[in-house]
Amino acid sequence: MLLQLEGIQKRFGGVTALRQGTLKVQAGEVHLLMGENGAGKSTMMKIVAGMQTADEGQMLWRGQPATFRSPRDAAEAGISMVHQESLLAPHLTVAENIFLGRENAQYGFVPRKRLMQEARHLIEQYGFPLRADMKVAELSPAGKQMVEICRAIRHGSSLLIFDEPTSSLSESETREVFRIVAQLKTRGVGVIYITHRLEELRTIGDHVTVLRDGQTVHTSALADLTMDQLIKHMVGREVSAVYQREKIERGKVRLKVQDLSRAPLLKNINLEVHAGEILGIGGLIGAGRTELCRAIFGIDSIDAGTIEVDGKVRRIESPREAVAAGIAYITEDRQKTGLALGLPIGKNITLASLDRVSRYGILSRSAEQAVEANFMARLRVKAANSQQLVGRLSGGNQQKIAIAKWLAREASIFLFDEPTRGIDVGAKAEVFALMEDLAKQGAAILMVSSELPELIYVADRILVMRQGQLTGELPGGCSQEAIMHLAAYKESVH
Amino acid sequence: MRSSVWQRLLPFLTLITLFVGLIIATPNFFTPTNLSSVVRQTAVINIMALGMTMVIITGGIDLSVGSILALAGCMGTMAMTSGWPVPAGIAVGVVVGCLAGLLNGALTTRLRINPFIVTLGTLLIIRGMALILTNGMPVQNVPKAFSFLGEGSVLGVPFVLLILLAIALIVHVILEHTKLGRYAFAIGSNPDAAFYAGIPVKFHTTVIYGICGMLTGLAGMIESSRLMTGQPTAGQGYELPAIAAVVIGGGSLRGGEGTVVGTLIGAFIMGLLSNGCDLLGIQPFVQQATIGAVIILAVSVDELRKRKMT
Repeated sequence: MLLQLEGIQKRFGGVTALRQGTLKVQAGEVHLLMGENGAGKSTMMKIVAGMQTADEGQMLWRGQPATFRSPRDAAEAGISMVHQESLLAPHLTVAENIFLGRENAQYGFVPRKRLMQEARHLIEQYGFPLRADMKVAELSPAGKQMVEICRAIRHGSSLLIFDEPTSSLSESETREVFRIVAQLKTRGVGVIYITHRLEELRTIGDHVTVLRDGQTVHTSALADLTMDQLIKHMVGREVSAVYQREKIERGKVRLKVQDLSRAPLLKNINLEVHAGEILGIGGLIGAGRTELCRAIFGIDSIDAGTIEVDGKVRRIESPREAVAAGIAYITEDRQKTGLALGLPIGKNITLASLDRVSRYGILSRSAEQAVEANFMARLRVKAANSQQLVGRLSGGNQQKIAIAKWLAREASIFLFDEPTRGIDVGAKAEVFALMEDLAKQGAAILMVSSELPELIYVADRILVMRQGQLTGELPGGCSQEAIMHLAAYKESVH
Repeated sequence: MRSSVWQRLLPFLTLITLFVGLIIATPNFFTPTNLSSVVRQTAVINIMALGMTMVIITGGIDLSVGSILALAGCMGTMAMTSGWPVPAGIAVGVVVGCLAGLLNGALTTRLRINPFIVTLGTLLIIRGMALILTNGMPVQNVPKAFSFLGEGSVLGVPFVLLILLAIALIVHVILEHTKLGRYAFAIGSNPDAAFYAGIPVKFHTTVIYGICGMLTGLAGMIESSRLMTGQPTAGQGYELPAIAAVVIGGGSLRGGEGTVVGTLIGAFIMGLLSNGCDLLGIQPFVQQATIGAVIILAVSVDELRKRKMT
């Protein structure tokens, strides 16, 4: 037994983040840690990795009681965490990042040659698709993950904690991460793996522990569980299907894109989205799906082509013009481009529609409050009040606010870019229900997603992109293989 | 929870403590003459700091305010000496300040250069313009009536105090109750999210710099009125107390945070500190060090409060 947690408790002020955290991890196993946002997964892992200390309960490390007071403490014992957000220095090379803080400097000088050699050796040993002398800034998200993993391995860890390592990776990149994890396993390293992506876990996990409301509610071998049982454990209620769709009569064409091109990626894109329709866009990372959204929304200027909204050609050269045309863009990275995290919920909701709650530039507080209250209730945002800062909300609630901003604007065409990234099952279901609601009211929805089941079960039609071009159209409910066939091409991690 | 309320009130309590402490420590403090002199001395920095508050909320900074103050003062007084009526001269100063601010805004948003660099450049350019325009000599023979702006009183209340309060009210209303103000917070909090929400980020940022320049121009006219000359060398180093006032009052150089009341308190804390040191006969050198320590102290307390909240 590598690690054993018994009755771990952790409170933050009046909030109990963890009340009964229990977990057992053996050497050479991949242990999945699952649960909705706020279930206490991250808190538990932070305690293991020495970033926080438990209020109560016992942690045994290799059979001995242990408390880690800092990440360094934990690292010295052999526990490392691979973080979700990259904690790398972008201007340094891969090798320099791997050894950051552990350069073994001689008289204050860094032995660059030796570090480079050691890094090359490590990369070869595990077959990482990396080059030691590359700048980290030039790497893809997957490449950065790999560097993080190298770093953890380099520290000689016997327990690695992965916090949603593949949430921003494409299929083949995900496979690459899995291959590395499998290798670590054969070398006797214990792996704890936090994930939201139900689809991917089968290929990688041995055991699973599910947390709900700060309590360990289930732990077993993964093979003994069906997907439905797992979801039930996570949300605590029967979820017959997260992805259920109602059939909606589709109306006239609301958004029409003709011959849209933008060098160097987008070539001759033609598509139509009808009122009441959810059009899915599939493809690998880098296929140009986000670029397509950006072009339609006026963030990137287009070289050729036209965009028609409700039958009229619109010149869209900035988000402002896109918004004026009734287009909304829910971006893939809500923290970077979707929300003002330092501002309260209310101010984020009305951000795109201040015209409607003001006259001659003067805001009407009462009109604003009405809008805030309306959407907080409608989207069931979990927060004390509209004054709470958005940065403190869970991923799912943040996504609701990002969407609410466009509902308040009464947009009619919605571009959803990876709408469920980093949010839990319950919130996913709510987001889909919301999209369906919008479609019912006559909105046209374009949804980019890397999660195949999402495309297959939520979208009415699916267009697949590859290297900046549309390669085919599939009906909703098609097979995953059909999408992958249209989407796939040789790609490398860098 | 309770401790965070205390910490939020800390700047205000510091101001009150300082005020009461000075009343007890020296009989010369709580006199009409001294108090009005404190108000007059701090009004210039205070008005600039209000403009700076808006700029800092957008995540920007304006290092050129000292130079704008000088250029506005010189051009305003030059207009008066060439025969323009006093109000027209004051208007010239305000307009010059506004134009300089718009220039700062346009340069940062159009060339996408960091405002720290842009305004470091315009600090030198505008100062140079003031010196070239006046040949390095102060503008003399300003009409007597002009002194009312900086030195006059209405019913015993210093006129500048009334101006300051009016401007504080206006800036407060802009920040809290207008679209422009809301956009300023949004831009400062996350410029990308603001852009993606369809907000004309460049336009509003430029307008904010324009308003900051305008207020600085007015401060320049008040300074000139107190000196009764247009000094091309006036206002050197004023950007620092202006920024300090914002920061002591809870503004964040990362943008998205700042209040009018906070800035006013920040400016008055510094004003009282320097006045108190004068009255108590403390060396000017010690004064400077004290104010520096207060800046760091105030900001660290504020950071502590924010960290606790997360």
